[in-house]
Amino acid sequence: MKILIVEDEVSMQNSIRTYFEKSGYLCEIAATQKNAEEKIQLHHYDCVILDISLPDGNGLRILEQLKRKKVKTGVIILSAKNSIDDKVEGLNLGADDYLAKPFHFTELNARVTAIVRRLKFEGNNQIEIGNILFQLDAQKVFIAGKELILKKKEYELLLFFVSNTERLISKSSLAEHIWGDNSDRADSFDFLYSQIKNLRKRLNEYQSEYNIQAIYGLGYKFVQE
Amino acid sequence: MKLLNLTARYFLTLILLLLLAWCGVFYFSIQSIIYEEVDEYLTFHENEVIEEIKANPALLYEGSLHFSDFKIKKITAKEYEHFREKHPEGQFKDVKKFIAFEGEEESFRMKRSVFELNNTCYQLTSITTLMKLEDILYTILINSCIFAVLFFVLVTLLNRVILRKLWNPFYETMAKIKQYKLDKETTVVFNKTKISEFQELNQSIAALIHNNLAVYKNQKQFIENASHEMQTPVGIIQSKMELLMEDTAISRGQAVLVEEASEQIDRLTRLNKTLLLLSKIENNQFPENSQVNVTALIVKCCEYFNDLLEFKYISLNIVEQENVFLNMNADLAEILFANLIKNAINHNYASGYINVHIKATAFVISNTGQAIDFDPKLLFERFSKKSDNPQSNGLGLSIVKKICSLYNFNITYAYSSKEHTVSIIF
Repeated sequence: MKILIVEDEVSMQNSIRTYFEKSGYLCEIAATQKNAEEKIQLHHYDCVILDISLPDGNGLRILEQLKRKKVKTGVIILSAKNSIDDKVEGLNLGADDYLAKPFHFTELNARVTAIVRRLKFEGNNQIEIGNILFQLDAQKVFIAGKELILKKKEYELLLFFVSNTERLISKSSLAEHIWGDNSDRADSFDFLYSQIKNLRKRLNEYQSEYNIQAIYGLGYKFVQE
Repeated sequence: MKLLNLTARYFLTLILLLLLAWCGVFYFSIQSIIYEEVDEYLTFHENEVIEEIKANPALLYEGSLHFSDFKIKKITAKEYEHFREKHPEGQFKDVKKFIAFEGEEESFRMKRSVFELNNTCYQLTSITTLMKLEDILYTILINSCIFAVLFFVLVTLLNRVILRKLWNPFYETMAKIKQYKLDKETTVVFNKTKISEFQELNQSIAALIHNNLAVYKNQKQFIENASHEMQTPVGIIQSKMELLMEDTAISRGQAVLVEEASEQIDRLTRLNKTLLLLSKIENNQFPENSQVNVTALIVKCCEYFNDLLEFKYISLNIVEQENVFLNMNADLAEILFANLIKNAINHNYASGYINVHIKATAFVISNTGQAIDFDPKLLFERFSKKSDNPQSNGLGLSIVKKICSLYNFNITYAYSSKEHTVSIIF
């Protein structure tokens, strides 16, 4: 799995690379538009993480070039502007997703995973991990063949865990994933605790091979038991 | 007090004083003219009498000359000399006489003089009536009053018509300044006026507004730019924090520190995002309006929070009028209603309730909850909320307020019988 990180901030490049290399991705970096275009010409990437505000131009031009190549490369746009125009234009130009800076790595990871999965397994949009099976189109979960009926938020939560298997997921990234911009709430954490508690109980009941593990006060990990 | 009335008041006081003085001057000048005329007449009359007597001394002894308006009496030579010495031109005197048939005293003017005829000295006393000075004064006062009334009417008319017309540019300027709101970012165009003072006033105000507007825009831009610039370093810190969290080698104690620092970074991130949103709304960066189906939007919003409502055992009751449409930006509409619903959940009791009313003209949301412990007027102000809740930055309602004022919605808050109610009149 090969990822191109187009990002001009060195500190940010390093962070993203370190994070994705831990997941076993092969990461390459481009700091300018020119550099990125050269790399795209020469190599094939499964996913491009694209910061659109670059010193030598708008990253959206890279997106246009990628689309002209007609290769299956997923693109996720990162933007510090959080402007709706950028989002609309990016998605219109064929980007697969859009994430506003600052973001949580778990969120970026989940989205990159989803993009790669969509491109790799066309028509068969499901995830299998241990004895858990996600049917993404139908939004159903089966554990050892038995369907696990979940509420909407519980489903989203479990999918987020699965997308970040074996990675630490901080409480705030969970809250933000579930509530988006509405995560600024006193009881969003309380709500999450209760949801997670419930999920763990049910995964146990269904004898899932993976379950949620609390890591100190930092957050959770979805790990094999 | 209005300037026009004040001018009128000073003007009238001045006129009244002038009139009084003028009455006095008029009275005395008339009096002196009358005396002059009467005295002239008496002198003329006296000369005629003396000449007549000198031509015909016999008249002195015939009583035919003894009319009521003059008398002749013999005097001694000594008295004659004395009188000539004292009054070479004759003696004038005011006298009062009781007139029987009028039943009152009348003023008379008298002249005494002496003459010599055939070595005998005589004193001649002539008398004539004097017009009543009181009558004259009375007439003058009446006339002055009529004059004053006329003057008053004239001044008032002058005020109403001319002054009002003259001051009109000033009132126009005032009306425009009253309506002006800096945050609407409009400029004011004043009508041209021929009066240089007002023209100067208008120019000064226009310049003032122009400068303030520039400062205001600059300020707004600064907030937006600052928030933008902060995104990158905050993002980098956050990313490093997450990498640190993943480090399996950190101890429990370190984990607590990392967790606490990370929480604060999240808070900073949210705060920054909210500030950015606020300044974007202020800088009018949500221009695309469309017909938003508010009913559908609110129902969708409530569904979004459904799990949370269940978790807090809050019952939600929606009374809706179907397909209420508003012409506004779709994103802002979502932010507006999501914020209000979120707020109603957040500041609610467990097992409380929320009532939502959607009408074509209004949106009303009320929820159970504890009374706020600060001035409700500050509710919609930035950072005014002294919340003990670290997850809340106190900006949610100020965003709501901003969006409402952008679309000229009227938003009000009330608390009664343990129920918070926020109403928006579209």
